[in-house]
Amino acid sequence: MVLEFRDEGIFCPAGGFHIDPWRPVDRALVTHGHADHAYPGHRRYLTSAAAAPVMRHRLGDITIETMEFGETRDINGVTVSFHPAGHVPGSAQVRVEHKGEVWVASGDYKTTPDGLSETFAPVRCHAFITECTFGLPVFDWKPEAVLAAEINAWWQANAAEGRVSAIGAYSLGKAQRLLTMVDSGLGPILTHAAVENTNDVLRGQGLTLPETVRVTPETDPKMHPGALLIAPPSALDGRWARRFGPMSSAFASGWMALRGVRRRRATERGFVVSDHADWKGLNAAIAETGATRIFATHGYTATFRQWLESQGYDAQIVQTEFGDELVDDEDAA
Amino acid sequence: MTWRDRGLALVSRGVVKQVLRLPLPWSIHRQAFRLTAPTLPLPGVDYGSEDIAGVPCEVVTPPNPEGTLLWLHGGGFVLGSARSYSGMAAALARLSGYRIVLPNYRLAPEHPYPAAPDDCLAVARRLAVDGPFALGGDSAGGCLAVVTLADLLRDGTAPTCMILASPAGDLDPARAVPTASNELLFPLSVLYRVVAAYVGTADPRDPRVSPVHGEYAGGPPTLFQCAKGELLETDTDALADRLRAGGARVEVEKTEGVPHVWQLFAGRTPKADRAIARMADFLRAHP
Ligand SMILES: [Zn+2]
Ligand SMILES: [Zn+2]
Repeated sequence: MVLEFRDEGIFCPAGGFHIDPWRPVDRALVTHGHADHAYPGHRRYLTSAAAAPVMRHRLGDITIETMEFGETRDINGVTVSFHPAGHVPGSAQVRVEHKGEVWVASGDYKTTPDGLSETFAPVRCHAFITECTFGLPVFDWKPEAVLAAEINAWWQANAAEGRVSAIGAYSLGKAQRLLTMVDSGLGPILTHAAVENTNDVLRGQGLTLPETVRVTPETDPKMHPGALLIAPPSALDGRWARRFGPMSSAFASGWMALRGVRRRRATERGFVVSDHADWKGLNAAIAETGATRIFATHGYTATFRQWLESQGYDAQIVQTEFGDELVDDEDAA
Repeated sequence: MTWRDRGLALVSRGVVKQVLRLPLPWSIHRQAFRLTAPTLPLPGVDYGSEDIAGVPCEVVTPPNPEGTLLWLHGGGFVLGSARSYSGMAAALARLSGYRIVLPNYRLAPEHPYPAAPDDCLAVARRLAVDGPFALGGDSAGGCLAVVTLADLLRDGTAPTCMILASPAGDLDPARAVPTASNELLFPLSVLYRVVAAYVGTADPRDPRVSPVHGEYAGGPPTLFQCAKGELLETDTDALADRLRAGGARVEVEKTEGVPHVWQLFAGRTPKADRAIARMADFLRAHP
């Protein structure tokens, strides 16, 4: 096996390195900065050049080496390279080749371009480790332009009624996706510090984002009528948000495609915006790898494995440290 | 039989076989092998070198290649090189339209088993990642091709088809000695010497050493060619049976009055040209 699944995460025995390990290890190749992939405490990190700034921002003083997408490096006779995963800016799939056998650990991925993340690039391999967060046919994302129109119409209607439009989005990935989708001509865009700090990091590495106003204790909501407010979902539920008075709130997540989730969050408008591949995207991505062996992690693994087996794949489930508990976490939205 | 075919048969039996019989160091046999194999470059075919999965390979590319054939060269695991097969490969590349990859896998006795099958498998796996390809080999390379096939079948990346020219299948020194009524090239003593050099301390009945003991369920269509009456005719028959038992469609062609791996003399003798043309036809029929 080029890669093994161990208690501490994915391990390459020949190369002596881990991929996205959740316990401290000597050498970790990390796909992207989300908390369930980039853990603190590793001795050395190796990431895509574009993922490194966020990783440093989140993990502080770490020893980190970077590689450009497509660049190869030999680690103890194993050839590794990073390839765009299209999930969030900088997110990578890791290609690992040993003795002609190629495995790809895809981390989290999204197959459709979003104008922000480097577009997903299929990588041919023998074995493909795939997430299946949204591995059911019910998950069928609308085109980016349709979603953008929905969000802008909602903002515009709220502004006309003198209300703030507050949208819950995780600070890395989803928040910036929304920034690229909304029409900044409709009004000012206010951001929570957690979102704005990540914006600063991404702007610093050359990403273009519309102008935003960081919310501070001094921020006077009355100065920004008809604003769009982007904040982590937890902030919108708490005291922080009260100062904005009556507002219309929304939540952007792939989970909004599920009727049950929409009902539980009845007070909110739900936008089905996801950083992950939908059912069609997962299936297309897997087919494009040419892989015969598929390892499913994160999500509807049992159902997805059965489906893959019915399609003739040698499919297995890989347990992660947290099983399927990530539903409401940053990474599985 | 033309005078060219007859000449090759005579030289094989009268000179090459006599030289091979001599217990000279492998280095001297290697030199001799290099001199016998015709490697004239053919026009319109591109010759290149490439590192594939850490194994140095020669790649012979026709204009607008339509497929890839991985060819594992013969030479008793101790002789031969990609270079010495480039003449045959060029002829086959031109006729078939296939790009031909010839790995310089590690040779015994410096690198005994499993160095050679490990190298061949690495190259095959790397090619499989890029899509379908055909697999083949002659003599010892035929043995390596069947050994590689077993692993590719386990990977679920079977080649599109296979071509085996006089493959060695059983390296067990305790096996029954083949009758070989008309062996023109290959003295039996060489078999024992090769086995000692290559197999070393490994179990000669291990299917990865002697593929006649392997299982090949779901093997691809396979073309066998051998000389009638040659030492490895029994191995050819035995491997054909093993592949058939796994469900593969198998064709066996036997040619009279030719030495072991006469296909190397493509462009020099009509029987070699005919054999190469059949290989090309088989490749085109199984894209
Ligand atoms: Zn994840
Ligand atoms: Zn993620």
